[in-house]
Amino acid sequence: MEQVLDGYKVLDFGQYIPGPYTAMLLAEQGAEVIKVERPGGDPYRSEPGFKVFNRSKKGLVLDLKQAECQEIAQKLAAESDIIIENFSPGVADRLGIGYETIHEINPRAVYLSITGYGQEGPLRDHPGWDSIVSSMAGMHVGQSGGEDYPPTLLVLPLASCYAALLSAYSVTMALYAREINGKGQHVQVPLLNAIYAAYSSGAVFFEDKVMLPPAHSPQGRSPVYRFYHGSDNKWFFLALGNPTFFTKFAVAMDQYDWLTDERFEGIPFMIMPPFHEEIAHEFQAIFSTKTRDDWLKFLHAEDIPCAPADPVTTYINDPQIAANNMALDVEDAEWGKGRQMGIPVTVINHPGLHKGPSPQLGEHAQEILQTIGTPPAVMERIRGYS
Amino acid sequence: MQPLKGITVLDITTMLNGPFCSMLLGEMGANVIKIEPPDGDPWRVMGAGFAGVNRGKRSIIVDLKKEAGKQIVHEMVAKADILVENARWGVLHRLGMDYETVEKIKPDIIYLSILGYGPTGPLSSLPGYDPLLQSRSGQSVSQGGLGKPPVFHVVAINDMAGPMLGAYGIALALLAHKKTGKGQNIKTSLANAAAAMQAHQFMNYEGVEYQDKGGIDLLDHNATHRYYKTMDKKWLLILCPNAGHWQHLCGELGLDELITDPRFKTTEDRLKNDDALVEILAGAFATRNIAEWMAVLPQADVPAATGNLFPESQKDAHFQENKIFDEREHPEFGQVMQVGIMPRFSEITPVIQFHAPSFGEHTEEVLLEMGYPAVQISEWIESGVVRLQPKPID
Repeated sequence: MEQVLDGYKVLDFGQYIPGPYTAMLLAEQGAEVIKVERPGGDPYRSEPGFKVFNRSKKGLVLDLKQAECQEIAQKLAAESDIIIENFSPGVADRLGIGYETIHEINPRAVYLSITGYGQEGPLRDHPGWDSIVSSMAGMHVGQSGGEDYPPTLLVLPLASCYAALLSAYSVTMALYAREINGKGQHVQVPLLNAIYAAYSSGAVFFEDKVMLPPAHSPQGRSPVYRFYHGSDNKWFFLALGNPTFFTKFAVAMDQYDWLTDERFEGIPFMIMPPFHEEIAHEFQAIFSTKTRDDWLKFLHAEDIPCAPADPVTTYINDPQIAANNMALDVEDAEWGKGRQMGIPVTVINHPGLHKGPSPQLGEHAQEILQTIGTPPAVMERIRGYS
Repeated sequence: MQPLKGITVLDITTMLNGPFCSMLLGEMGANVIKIEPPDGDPWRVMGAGFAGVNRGKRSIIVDLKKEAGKQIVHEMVAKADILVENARWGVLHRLGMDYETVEKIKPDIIYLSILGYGPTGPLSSLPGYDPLLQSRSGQSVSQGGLGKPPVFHVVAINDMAGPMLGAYGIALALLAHKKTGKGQNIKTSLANAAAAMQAHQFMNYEGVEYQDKGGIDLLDHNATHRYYKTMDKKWLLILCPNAGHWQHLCGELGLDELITDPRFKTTEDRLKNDDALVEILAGAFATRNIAEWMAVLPQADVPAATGNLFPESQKDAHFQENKIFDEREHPEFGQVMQVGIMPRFSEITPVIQFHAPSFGEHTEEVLLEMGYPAVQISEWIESGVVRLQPKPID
């Protein structure tokens, strides 16, 4: 069966997460992706995640400080539909693969740049790492509850992943635009923009906006929408996301007086202090009387939304993941047989295709260079890079 | 140019993830019609939050439980190009808006389902609230640490990732439709999004250990990836991914001797002597104000950041120059500041067509546009098949 991006060529100069992840998402909807690494390889090779973000691609090493390699890169770009880079602003230009250069060679190409802060403005040249940009965007202060508290460092690379998802969408939209007017273009999704996009519902302000007073509530601020633990100290999330679920819960717990208790007036999300802590204490006392799994069984039977808090190592074995085909068998040269994330969005008639493990450094140099008629002497030199 | 100019999107979604997806399409120029039930999109109680993910759309109120209401929407389907839904599994079948029914009316429709858990499987019938997926998928344990209390992420990780994946699916389907004329049924889920947002650790290989980096009130991963208090008691984040960054940091702190100090020479050394290093660096950072540090560290290639607060960040020159925020007048809320259009294009000119709609603001306008006579519309209003925007109570 054909995939939507069959026949499309992607030239991926990305490093770490955002660029490579975007390219992988395109690869598994059919695109042919060439990953270009510098000598020594993508620094992210030291992380297990490299194997995921770079699967389904072919690999080539080029030293873009050399004119000869820049020429090769430009030749490959001339035949590509999409070029991806996530260098700091200015670096791609210095390496001979900047947008202006590529656009002149191939005006139909869609060129994606993912920087930390964008290519304009006072923060342009600030080193834009995921954690750093997230901090500047206010994510860590927002997570801990506000200025009155120390910030909470976020563990997951959210900005990088959001940048990849938004970029896959934006690049494909640019390809669709090209079908209309024949033109390529420069697409940019800075990490700052990507993390802010994810804050679209939270980062809204107007004068009469009702704001809850600041609070530090790592397990969740609303007592009806937060983590609790059972008698065995295992945790679960209770999600009474609307008044109907709250009613169901009160009835199921035989606590009819909650239904007229004015402390619950702002359910689910606007319960005012001190009630939000008071109620949470009461609920925790109740939940401490049985094990987590006993509670989950009970609540599920009453159609009350809840879920266990488990590590990601459990999730990959979740039967729902299997039902979604979301765990893929990928045999790795180093690690052997194992599983990784599947294809996260499916176009039913073109369900996407995993093409194989991430490339070894320079693994496909010969094959790639041959397609652009590279002379044997040059090929020898390039293949010597590692 | 706007690639979705002339394209009509029917948005029957509610809450957060569905509306965000169709809002992205509206930015590309699409005519997005938000069809709300008589009680409205429940997310409207969030006020500001609703505005953030519903701008650029028109709102009409139609009762799909009534036969006449179903008929109206089916006629809209016949003229639509894309439909986005995020209902609990089974609901749409009852309302006659499931893919099979819609496809019969418009065979080349592009129909996106953003599911909670999935189309089939043991959890498929359950409501998919974002934190349930944070919890089940390991995101909350990743933040809180193994064996420690899990953490509720304030950003709705999966509710925002699901629609981005959905939008990607729609863009793919549009491309396919341009070439083949065929419609597509696209599926994604918060369950899938939850894996996609931790793809770097969602894996299972013998010998590859899970890296537990979480903790209670996490302030750092190590001495060179940590929040330090400055002289003016502000929090400064520094990060040294490479040896080069570490050396530049030592230079800027006037602590070059640390570079050759056997306790701190290599990354492994620094991790082994983390506590000692924290003490030294904490002392150093406390000697200047945060503004001074931010004026030298990034320029010396030391990744550094403050914790910028929203909405104060709106005044920041960088945020303004990059149009991170959009400000516009809203009939109910007054002057609203919210996140602007985030992806940037050199050819496409994305657009925020108008403010987030009031409930049923465009019922009459859209029905007249469809060619229904005023008399018919009045009848429908009488019988509750459709509703106009409710008048404010004085």
